[in-house]
Amino acid sequence: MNNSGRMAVLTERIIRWRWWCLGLVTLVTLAAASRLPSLQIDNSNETFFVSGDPTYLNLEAFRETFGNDDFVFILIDVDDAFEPDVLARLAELADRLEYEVPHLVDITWIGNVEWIEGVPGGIVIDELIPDLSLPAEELAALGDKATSDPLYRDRLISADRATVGILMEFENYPDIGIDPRKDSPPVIDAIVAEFDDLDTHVVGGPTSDYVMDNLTAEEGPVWVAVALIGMCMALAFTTRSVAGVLVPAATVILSVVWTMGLVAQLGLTLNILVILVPTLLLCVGIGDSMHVVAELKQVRREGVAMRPAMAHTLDLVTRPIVLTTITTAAGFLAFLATDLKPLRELGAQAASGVVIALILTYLFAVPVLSFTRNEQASPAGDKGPDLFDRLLGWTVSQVNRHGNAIGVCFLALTAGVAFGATRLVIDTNTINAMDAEHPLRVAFEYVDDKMGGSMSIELVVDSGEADGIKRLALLEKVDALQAFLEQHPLVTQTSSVVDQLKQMNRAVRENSADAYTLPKSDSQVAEYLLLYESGGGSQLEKYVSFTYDKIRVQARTKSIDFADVRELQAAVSGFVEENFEEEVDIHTTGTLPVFQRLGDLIAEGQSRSFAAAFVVIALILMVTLRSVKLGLIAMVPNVLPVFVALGAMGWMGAEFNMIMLVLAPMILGVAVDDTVHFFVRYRRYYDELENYADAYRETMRTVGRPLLFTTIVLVIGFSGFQFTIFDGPRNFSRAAMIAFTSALLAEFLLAPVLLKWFKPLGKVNKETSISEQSQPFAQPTT
Amino acid sequence: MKTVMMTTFLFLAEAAFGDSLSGRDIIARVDAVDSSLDGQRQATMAINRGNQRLVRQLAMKNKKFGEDERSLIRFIEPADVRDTQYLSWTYEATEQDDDMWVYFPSENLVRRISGGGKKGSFMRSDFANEDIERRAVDDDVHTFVEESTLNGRPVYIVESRPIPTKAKDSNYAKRKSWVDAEYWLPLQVEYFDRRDRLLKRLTQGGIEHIDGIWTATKLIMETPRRKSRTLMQYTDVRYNVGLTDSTFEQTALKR
Repeated sequence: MNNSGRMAVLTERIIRWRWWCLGLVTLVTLAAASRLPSLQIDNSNETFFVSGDPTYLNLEAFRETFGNDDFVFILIDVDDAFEPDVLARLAELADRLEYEVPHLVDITWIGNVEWIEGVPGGIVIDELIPDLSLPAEELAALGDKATSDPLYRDRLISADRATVGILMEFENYPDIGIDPRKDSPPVIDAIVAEFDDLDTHVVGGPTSDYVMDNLTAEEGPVWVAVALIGMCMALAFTTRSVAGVLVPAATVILSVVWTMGLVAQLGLTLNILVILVPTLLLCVGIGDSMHVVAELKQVRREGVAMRPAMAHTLDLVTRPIVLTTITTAAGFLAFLATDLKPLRELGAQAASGVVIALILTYLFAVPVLSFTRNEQASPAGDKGPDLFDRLLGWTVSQVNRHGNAIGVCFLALTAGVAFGATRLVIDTNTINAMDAEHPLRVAFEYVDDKMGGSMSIELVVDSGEADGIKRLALLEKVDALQAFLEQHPLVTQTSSVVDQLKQMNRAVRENSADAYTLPKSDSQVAEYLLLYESGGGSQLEKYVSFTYDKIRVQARTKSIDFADVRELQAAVSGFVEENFEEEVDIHTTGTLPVFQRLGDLIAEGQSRSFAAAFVVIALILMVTLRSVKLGLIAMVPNVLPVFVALGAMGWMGAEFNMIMLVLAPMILGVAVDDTVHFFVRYRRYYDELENYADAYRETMRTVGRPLLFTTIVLVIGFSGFQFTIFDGPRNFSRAAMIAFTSALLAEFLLAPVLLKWFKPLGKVNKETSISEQSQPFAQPTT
Repeated sequence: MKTVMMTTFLFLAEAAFGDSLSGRDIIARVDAVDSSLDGQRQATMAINRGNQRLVRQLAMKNKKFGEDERSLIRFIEPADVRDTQYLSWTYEATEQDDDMWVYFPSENLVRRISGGGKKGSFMRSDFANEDIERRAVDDDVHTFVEESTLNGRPVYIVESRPIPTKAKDSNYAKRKSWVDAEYWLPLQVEYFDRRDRLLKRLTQGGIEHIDGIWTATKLIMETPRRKSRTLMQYTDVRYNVGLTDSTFEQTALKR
């Protein structure tokens, strides 16, 4: 039995068993939908790393030694923080926070900071304000003390006393709940809302992640809805039929439900990239059913009855859509080559979704389409060429007439646009990815501006031996390191145990101003550390390891991105190499370097998965098209859109962020669909007509329309992301729209020229019969 | 057998009069257990956190001055703080702040320390200074909770909350003590923060009758949140050894 015969049998069987097919789809859908409520979301950073990653191990070790580096900072504008009424109100707020915020381990504000001071014959280690109900004049004097101390000025209080900060630090989060890190922000927000007489700005890692999660959760459905509505409108415009809209839309929605149900059934969790899965599936899953709908419509236009039309349609599209499913799934499975769990999971989920979309095309779309009105076949030529036919016909005639010029211009233009990729900046600062007006971004910028920075990088100085950090020689180098960091433009302040030792030294020397230096001997260091701790000093646990082998140096920074983190790390490495002995290990850690490492891993993973996808897809194309040369030429319109999209983003000045990093494989996945449909059909017509121009014309006449439609639908679908407050998804959708358009143009304009130039299928055997003619493009072949 | 019978009798007798024992009465009995005029001991602390361990050694002396008490701690290990000394005078009168001096041997320098010393950690152990110092009975309000048993021993459970003027000087909002009904020593103490979260747990054992005074010689303080544990072992405990008053003068620190 030949292929057409097999498809006729398949069509016959599907139509005969169509009720059973639809019943099965209903049952599986119900089962999948019932699993959806049990889907778990895990957005914690830990989920990003596969086990054993050194960056993550460093962070774990840091937290084990010094506690959690997470903090939330509330900045409050007041008239004068040391006015008794204001101070009392601030104390009330701090009290509520201390009492109610979960996982809180320490709360620091000017009302409870420690104060180390030398007095004649003695040392006072106490709170700066021993009693909040002191008379106004005494409080004012304490205010002067606070603003004159570098440990507090611009950290917890501004020099003019009009801005104060409340710093909240957290315990190492317990292994309970979905993400305990997000427990505290809603409580903080609720408490702060009750103090609406205070002008507050809340910043910090947990807060920004919590806000991002909420915004994503709020926006996610909007993106999907807008994408769906846009796709439906485009389907309505291009297919001009109810079935043409509903069948592909319903197929792809069912694919999403089945895929998510499968994820839940397998007990997998959803991660931060999951928001992309439904949209990705909408894009790559809709292609299969759309090709069936569009091809069927095309065949029906030519006056064929439903059953033979369906058989002919499946004969035409089955091979390409099975192939596109394999190539697209291969593109996504290439994510398994990365070291990042969320990308691996995204790859596996999207690949499953693509296969499910194919299955549903046959189990759902074909049976439903078979119910559509079996209208009398229209006499040939009744429906003359429409706008799309004329456009495709004109394209073919232009390419056949001016192929060389078009090819050269296309390549030149592509190279020009792609050059813009060199201007791309990788930015992973999520705050900068938000609208400039968003309250969270405003709060971060305000804190950056008013109080020494909203972010921090941690440095661990590891002496390699117990009590090693009590060596004065090492502490002097740490002091120099802090001085070096404070000169760096990205760093606003630093802190370490060196500060406490200087305070102690000054206090022991009865507050002599020139004694704000390190002690003079190893013994003094040990004694002052002992005194500081037993005298009530609370910072030792945060800055010195249990066995005195490591020191933590904290560098506060303004809101910075990965490139900044990398620059700072390089600067630190340079300084360390020059100034520290080899046996002392100094490394950066904390949330920022971890995110920076994540960015690197994603970028590496992307290149690796892109390369893997390229190889797999190229091999599949070579085998399918039965020609190495044709397979390689077919890869050109696949790869070019990736560079065009990246280049266009570069020229537009967009920043490349995490969400954009999944762009290239997705473009490849979608573009390869166009390629497969185009080249499979092309090969078929070439075998039949043995002439490049004729094969091109026939390919465009039959598959051009569905390809044009799928591209229009995808471009409109992706416009859903324009309704976001994040720059990231907005730029992502722009890049995707450019990529899909350029993929189609590469297929329509460049591919025929390349085929003409390289003649991968051998020399032309037959004279062209129709390429230069201007007959109506929609003329049916009978 | 005789001891068991005596213990049972005492407990039953106390139980019979239990209603008349207030929380303060029980804590006052605890305070009165050490009836000595003075004493001295060696202390070794083994502090374990995860798989890391620190060892500290110190010599402690104390003497009563009427209702007040003075104590002197000299550090022996680690070597880098050897001979550093802390002298503290604690007063029974709640309105009077305690005094403390420190002696730095490397500079032969004495400094008076004032402020929040009580809350400070004791040599990175799980003990805070306030945990090892004598605490005046009326620094807290004591509430009798119930009679119970702990590890087979009859105990009184008492909750103690600092009086408002002392609350600021303490890490704890509440301490819950399991006081042995025979020895009048706490067998277990739990420490809670303002949110009623358990901060630490002290277990006392190795109870010996030394120079006529019941003494716990083995103290284990655990901080569950930090996964940390400190064992304090007292050795060479002696009471009424005739320490001079001048031993507890700040001028004596330099000697």
